[in-house]
Amino acid sequence: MTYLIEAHDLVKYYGNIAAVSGLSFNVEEGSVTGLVGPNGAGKTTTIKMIIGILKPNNGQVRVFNEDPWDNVDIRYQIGVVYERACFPTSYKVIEYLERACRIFGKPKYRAKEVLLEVGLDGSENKPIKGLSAGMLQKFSVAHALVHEPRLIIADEPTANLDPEARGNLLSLILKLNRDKKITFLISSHILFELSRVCNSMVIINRGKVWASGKLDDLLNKLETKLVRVSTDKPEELAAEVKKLSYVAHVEADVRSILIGVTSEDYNRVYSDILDIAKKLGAKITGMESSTASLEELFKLAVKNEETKR
Amino acid sequence: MNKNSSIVEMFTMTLNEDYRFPIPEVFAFLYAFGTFVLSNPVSISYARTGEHLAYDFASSINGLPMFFFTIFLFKNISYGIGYDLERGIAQTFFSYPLRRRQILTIKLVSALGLATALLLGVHVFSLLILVPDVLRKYFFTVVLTYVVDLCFPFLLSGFLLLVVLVSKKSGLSLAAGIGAYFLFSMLIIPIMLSSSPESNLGLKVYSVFNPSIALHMYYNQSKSRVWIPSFSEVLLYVAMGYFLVALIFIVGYAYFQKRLEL
Repeated sequence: MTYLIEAHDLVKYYGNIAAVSGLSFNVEEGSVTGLVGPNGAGKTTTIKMIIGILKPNNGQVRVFNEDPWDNVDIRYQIGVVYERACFPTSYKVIEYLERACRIFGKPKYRAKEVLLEVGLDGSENKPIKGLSAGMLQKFSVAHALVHEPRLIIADEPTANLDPEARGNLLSLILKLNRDKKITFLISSHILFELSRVCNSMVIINRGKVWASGKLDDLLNKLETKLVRVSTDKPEELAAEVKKLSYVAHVEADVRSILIGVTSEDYNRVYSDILDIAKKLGAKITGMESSTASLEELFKLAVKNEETKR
Repeated sequence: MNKNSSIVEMFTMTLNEDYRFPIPEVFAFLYAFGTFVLSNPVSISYARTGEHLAYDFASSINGLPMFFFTIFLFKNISYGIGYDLERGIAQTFFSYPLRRRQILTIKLVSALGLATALLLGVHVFSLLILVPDVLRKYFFTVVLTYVVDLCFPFLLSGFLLLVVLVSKKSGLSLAAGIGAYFLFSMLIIPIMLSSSPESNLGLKVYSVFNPSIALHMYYNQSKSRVWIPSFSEVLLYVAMGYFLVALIFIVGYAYFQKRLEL
């Protein structure tokens, strides 16, 4: 198994605030790995340390087995797509890509090839500043592809796009991974979106890894049933249910509570809820269950952590 | 892969951004305008001869163009480097196979080197038109005058570079640079007023930062009673001034290479 990115115990402070604290994960060659977390989780900081434009305060990051800070040679193998694509805007699309080709020592015709690959053929002579958000992001992917990299690192590439452009970009990523064997590390705060294209996930929150691994393994490992109980005393019921040792997550709203339990304990929870409701004198008006998606699990975990704090 | 071609490509791209029409045309016009129209070679005393006359000519036509030149340098640094940092374009450049020091060198050669070449180009022709004999006979004096007069703008540019790198704000750094320029330029007035032959330390310290004062005192010994430096002293102040210029740029390079985070 070859790892293109190895992050070990990364720590990064901004003043006294730890943006990343002890983050470790690997990105396997050929994979599409998602780096997922809510806003402020430390995704962009992590990506910047991997690209080599931020220096970790502690820990180590290796890309192609090299330190990415000012290591020029690995950049021939890495393409970068930023959340907000930033290029000198006075150029036309084709002009800038041809310059990028020359910077990477690639023939000029490569510029037209990548425009075709990303579906921007026909926009060669448009000025960069005249591109829509979706087109600009496609241009950014084209720019990342000119030198035929083995690894593309994308920081929230879909953040400013409408749903259609988002879908197109993710399909393009899948296609590039399948046809060109390009490894991707993509960050996003939308887990559902990434689970469409990623085969590995690193889920982070507050600068730490919450869960990581292959997507299928993660789903098996974390498989959780959700039970929604409608009641007239949600707060009191939630407080008592929280005390059950096997309950992973509890969330109350105005007329119901949502309980997360592992599959093994799923059968116990019904009788326990009825017992607690009886003791509290709470009226149960309905119970329904479903399997939690990774997204729901993550949201619950984040909420639980915030409540604890 | 040829790394030199990457550097050349990046350099041409930087030039394209720094010297977009009509910026070089406007500044070339201002240099020529300042040299031929607004500067005052008529005020030069033709009673003076030799290298004194050469100095008078060179420093006289330098006055206003040097102000335009300083503003041009400030604009190139604050917008050529600051704007890239502010808008995230620098992140794109950092994904290219170029070392950090190479990127900064490209930016500085474009921002400072080309602007200086433009000024000197205009002035060499101006001197050839106005005083061809003086330029030919006292070439060293003319060169020395330019070397001395360029020191202060370069020093302020180095200061501006540090402000740009730390703040990553183009507008703020431009304002800081212009503020520092005017503050420092005005400072000479109280220093001169408070100086006497017995007490001229302020003038000497000021000359470390702006050695054109020392050169002025040297070539105007009859007028200047406050401080009359020897020629070797003038050279020492020039060396100290450029040492400060080198030091401030070394600090800038070190910060850019080792500390600058985007």
